[in-house]
Amino acid sequence: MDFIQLFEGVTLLSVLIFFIPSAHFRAIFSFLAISVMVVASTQVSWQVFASGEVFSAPLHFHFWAGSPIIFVIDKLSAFFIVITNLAFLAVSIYNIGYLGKTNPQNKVEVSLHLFAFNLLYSSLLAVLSTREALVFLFSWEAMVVTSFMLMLYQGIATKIIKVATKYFVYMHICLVILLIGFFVLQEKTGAMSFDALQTYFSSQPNIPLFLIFFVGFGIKAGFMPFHTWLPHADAAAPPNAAAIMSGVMVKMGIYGILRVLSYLQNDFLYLGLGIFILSLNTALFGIMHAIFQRDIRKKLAYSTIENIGIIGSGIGLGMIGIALKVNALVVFGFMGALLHSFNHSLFKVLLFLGTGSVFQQLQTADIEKMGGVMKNMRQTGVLYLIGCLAVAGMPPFNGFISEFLLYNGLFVTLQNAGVYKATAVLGGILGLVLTGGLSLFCFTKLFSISFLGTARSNRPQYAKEVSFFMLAPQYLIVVVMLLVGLYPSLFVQPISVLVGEVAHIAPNALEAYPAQKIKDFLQPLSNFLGIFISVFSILLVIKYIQQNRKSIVYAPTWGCGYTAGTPKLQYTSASFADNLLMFSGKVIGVKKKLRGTHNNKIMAIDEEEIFPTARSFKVSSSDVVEEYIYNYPAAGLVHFLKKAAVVQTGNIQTYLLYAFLFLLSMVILTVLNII
Amino acid sequence: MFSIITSIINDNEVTVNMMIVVFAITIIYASVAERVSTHITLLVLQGIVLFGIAVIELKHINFANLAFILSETLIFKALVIPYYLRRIVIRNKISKTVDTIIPMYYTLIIVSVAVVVFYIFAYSLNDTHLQIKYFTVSISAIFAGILLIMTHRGIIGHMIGYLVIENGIFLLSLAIGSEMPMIVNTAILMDILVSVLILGVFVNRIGSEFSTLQITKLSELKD
Amino acid sequence: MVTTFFVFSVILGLAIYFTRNKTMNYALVILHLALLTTLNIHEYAHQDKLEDRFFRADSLGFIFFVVLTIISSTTLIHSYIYNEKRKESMRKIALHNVGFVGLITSIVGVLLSTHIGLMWAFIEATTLSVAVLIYHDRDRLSLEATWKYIFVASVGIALAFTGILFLGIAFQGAGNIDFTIDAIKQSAGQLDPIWLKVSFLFVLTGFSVKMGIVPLFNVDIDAKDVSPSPIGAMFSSALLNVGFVAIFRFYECFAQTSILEWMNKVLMISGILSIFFATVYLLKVQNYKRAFAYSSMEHAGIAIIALATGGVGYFAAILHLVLHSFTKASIFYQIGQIHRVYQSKHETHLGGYFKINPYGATVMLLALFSVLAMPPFGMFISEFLTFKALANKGHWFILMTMLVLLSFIVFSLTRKFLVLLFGEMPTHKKFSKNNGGIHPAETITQFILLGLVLYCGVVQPDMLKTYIEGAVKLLAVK
Repeated sequence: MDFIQLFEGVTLLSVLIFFIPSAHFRAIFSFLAISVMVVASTQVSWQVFASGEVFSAPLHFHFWAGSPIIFVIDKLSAFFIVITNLAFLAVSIYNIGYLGKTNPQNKVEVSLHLFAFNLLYSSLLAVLSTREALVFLFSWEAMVVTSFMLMLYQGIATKIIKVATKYFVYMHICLVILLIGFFVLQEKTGAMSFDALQTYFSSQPNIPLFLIFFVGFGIKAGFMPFHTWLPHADAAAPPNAAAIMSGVMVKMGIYGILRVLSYLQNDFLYLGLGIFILSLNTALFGIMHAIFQRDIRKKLAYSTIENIGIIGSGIGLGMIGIALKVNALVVFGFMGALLHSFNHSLFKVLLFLGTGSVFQQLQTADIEKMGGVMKNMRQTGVLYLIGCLAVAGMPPFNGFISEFLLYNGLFVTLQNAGVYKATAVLGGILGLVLTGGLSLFCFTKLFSISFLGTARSNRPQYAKEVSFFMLAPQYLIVVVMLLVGLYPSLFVQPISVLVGEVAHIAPNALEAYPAQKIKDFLQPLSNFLGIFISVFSILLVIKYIQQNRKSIVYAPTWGCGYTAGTPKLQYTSASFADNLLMFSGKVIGVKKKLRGTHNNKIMAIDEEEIFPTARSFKVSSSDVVEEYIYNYPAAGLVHFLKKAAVVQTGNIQTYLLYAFLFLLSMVILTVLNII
Repeated sequence: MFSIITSIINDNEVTVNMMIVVFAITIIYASVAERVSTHITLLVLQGIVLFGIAVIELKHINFANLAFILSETLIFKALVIPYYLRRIVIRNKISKTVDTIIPMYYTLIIVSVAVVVFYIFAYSLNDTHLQIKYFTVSISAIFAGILLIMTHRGIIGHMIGYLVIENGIFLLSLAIGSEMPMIVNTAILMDILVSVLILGVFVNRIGSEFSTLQITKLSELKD
Repeated sequence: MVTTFFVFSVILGLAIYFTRNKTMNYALVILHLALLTTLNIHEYAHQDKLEDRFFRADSLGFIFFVVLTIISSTTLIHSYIYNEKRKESMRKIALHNVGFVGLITSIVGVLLSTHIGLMWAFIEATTLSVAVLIYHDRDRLSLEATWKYIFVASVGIALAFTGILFLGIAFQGAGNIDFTIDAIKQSAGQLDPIWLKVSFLFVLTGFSVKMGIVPLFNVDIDAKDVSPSPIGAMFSSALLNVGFVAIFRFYECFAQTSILEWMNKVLMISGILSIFFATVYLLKVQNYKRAFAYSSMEHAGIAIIALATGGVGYFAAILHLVLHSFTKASIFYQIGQIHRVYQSKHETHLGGYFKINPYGATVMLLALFSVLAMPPFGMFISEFLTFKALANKGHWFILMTMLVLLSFIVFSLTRKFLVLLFGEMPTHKKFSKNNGGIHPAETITQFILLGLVLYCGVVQPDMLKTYIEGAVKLLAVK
């Protein structure tokens, strides 16, 4: 059985999910189906990387367009297929544990969810493997539809309606923009496929069409200012779906941009600079917003936006490198971007799965209601800690490696740069450093407020550690992350060949420098980290042995002398992030309201008020971009359109008047030769 | 005097022209008529005129068809439908005067202008086969019918407007009827449909459901 | 064979009206449907052969005939359920079935006629039959809707007849008037284009009431709102197709003359205005049946624009209408069930359907994707081909307007569906969770129809493709 047959078979057989009686078995079936496909597609991808040849095979049915659907998998597709596979493998194992314990409305809901899950996987594979516009857009939109279905799980809460509608409309607009891009392409070259970009970019001005595709894919990827759908979608979707959406689907946007990029032929400098600046903005914007969120899922979503910014800056750097013909920059930039895509999907999935476990046990994702979860959910807590460290870019995990590559790229440019260049590069370095620091801040806050300290509400006391199926995939991901973190040189060679293909540089030009150089300095790094970990683990073992000999007394944490300490005296999430408001307040749109509970008027606490009366305090943050660019105009447009709804008067006379007017106007237009 | 009349009757073309002119006059008069019974009388007149035109124009088609057409015009258009209308007016206690949205003289002006415009349009076509008089008057009748529907408020006004449209169409079909009698038959089908279904069934229903046949009451279905 | 069918239909119709035994009544209707299927198979065997002097099943007629047969069968099932659950009196059921049989027969007549006058007469007959069906509920709103529909439809049909008369006048010059479609096609090139233009204009205005596009779309919306849901399904599928066939026939007759470009422009204006008003009202209405009626108007507009664009648009138009028939029918059937549960069609009275009837809710969810032309349903392909045709011909303004308007429709329909499925359950008096006694088996037909949309859209059945291409050949546009 070859890959294509497996693909078709598994996709069609997904329907069987509806007919399996128990929820547990449905999840197992879904996992089996996905793992079959994972194995097959990974094998194909491996072969593509190993042999250097492109995999190409037609499907057994074709659309109305006439020509058969051909799956074409080259290295770029193969890379992203591997990303998708890892994520889906992890989440499908997780589903076995997660879906069994929730309270679905009815059997149909679980079946729909798993069915959509499998179909999502198939459509993602199809998106990555097709070049022709009709099939690509078909799979693209199928991806949107299936993820929409995933979002609807347990959706009888009112908020789902607004969010899901928003998501759907945004994605539709994304499709429309991509459609327009393809139509423009067709107009000039006569073909509607990615391969036609080759002819287009060689003869037409590159910037407009590239921008159209960039905007279209950028909406999916989550670049600012197109990011507004992502936080809502991630908050509303169940955590396993959010893992896929944040971990994999935004990468499809990156894939699209890279795909179009690989055909680009001029204007690299301006586009590269533009993308670099935009990405830095996205990254900073994302992380600043992330810090202020209370909902873990929104936090993670904004963090995704930040990471997309980092990936984007890598792409921008690579493009600048192509323009300036500095191979080192090209490799560092693109390699950093690609490796970061891989890494980000890993740790974002890990974090979302951990969030899912917490959500399942505590029935909330609001960190203000958590605290001290570590005590009851030790394994989840440790895994979560690893995830947070990785996101923040700490060694020995993978996030460190990809960001390290990006910094190196920037420093390499600094070597022979003139004044202006140096300033620009320094600005870039500053931006990345700021983002890195802020993300450390953000995830420290996240982890400490939710897992450490004491419980802020009564929910954490009921938490228990989750089932094996939910923990296993998280361990799996940690292993892969450590692998990347400790032995990055393994990955350098294949990715540099991929970079060569995307940037059209011959592989042997990359062999000498910088690929080899990268391996050279990454190796000692890995060695050092390996030593570090071994020392650390030896110390842990020694501590454990020592502890066994002594008796341990548990006592409450020293409370700084408060006689009536309550959990509420701990840091809240808003207070933790408060000093950041000094310079980001305008962007974040944070509003603080201190009101009296009786009269609801704003009342600060007076100095002379010895026994203060009750107050209520509310902090909220809103997305400035969303408010001004999307919400107001959209509402205005809808309002304006509704005004045109006057033709249905309920009166026969007006209806006939319309007929008469139509006749008259057509006659007039004909007489005037307008039509 | 007598010789004039005989010569008129013998001369087909003049007779037809006269009848078409009478038809046109009924159309224009309908746009200012104030009383429902005037409208009904005009419909009767139109029926008779159409009968006359049919007699003269369609003399050459086969007898069965001719007989059918003639009897239809005379019986349905001139007798049955007007009778039905009168009954409906009495039964549903419809007001005897017509209520319009815009004053009558506007409709008069519009219809007159329309007749002139259509005449000019027909002449400018320069089509030798076209029988201008038929074309112009029938189009004016259709137009006037639509105008009647648009301006009158009561259902009875709409009915009358529709019947005027029908008569206009019938007249137009007579223009080509000598070559295509089936067309005229189909036009008649419309007549029968209207009289049986609409007049017979629905107007009574509406009358019994709603206390008046004011069209404004029938405006609940809207957005 | 065809005339035998009509004669039998009339006899059966009369029999149904006078039979007051329920089983006998439905048995007669089933007999009629069996006759219909037989005729269908017969026409499949006798493709493109002239029968009984005036009837012929060319590719276009045949495609819509098959659609009619499928939809009629499913409508019968749902009409039966509808009447049973409401415990209608025998007289009403008999009248309903007579109307139903009459409607089917007249539609068959339209699809198969080669003579324009005869086609017109059959369209007139559809107005009559459908009026009986709209008036099923016998309350004020139905009366109002029926009256308006009959009146405006009659005026419309009269205008269309005027159009035919103009065509006759145009022919006067050429000598012999033969109103069969083939004859018109042959001699249309020699006729004065002004007469052809006026004729087409009047015909379009007149038949727009059947298809539900600008300018005479309003009464269609009312009729779909008020009539029983299974009949609403017939309305949006079979009757809409009839309107399209009528306009298509005239388009076909004039497609090889010099007025082709002009016809395309007029159709485009009509189409884009239909989509515009549909969008605007979808944002505003809160009555679900009206919302779906406006959605039908939108899809009719898309089909008209596809027809007007040409190229691959011809193919897309017919494919779109076929798929739309199945989708809209299943939506209307499901709305019938929803109405039974909630006793209301208004947005504020609906919600939480996913809990009450998960199978029906799944149908609605899939139907949402289908009606918004999302993959993997087939309408994505037909709309994509329409956009492609528009881009090919350089109609960028129409393309952009359509894309923008369709985005708004995505917004309004998604919101409505989600409120229905996932909103809070209503608390008004008439609603209780067990209303209507919904049995999951009722949704089988809807799944089948949606499955057909999926199948026809993704995997092209060669037969369908051949027939649509045959219909496109009728146009023979150079």
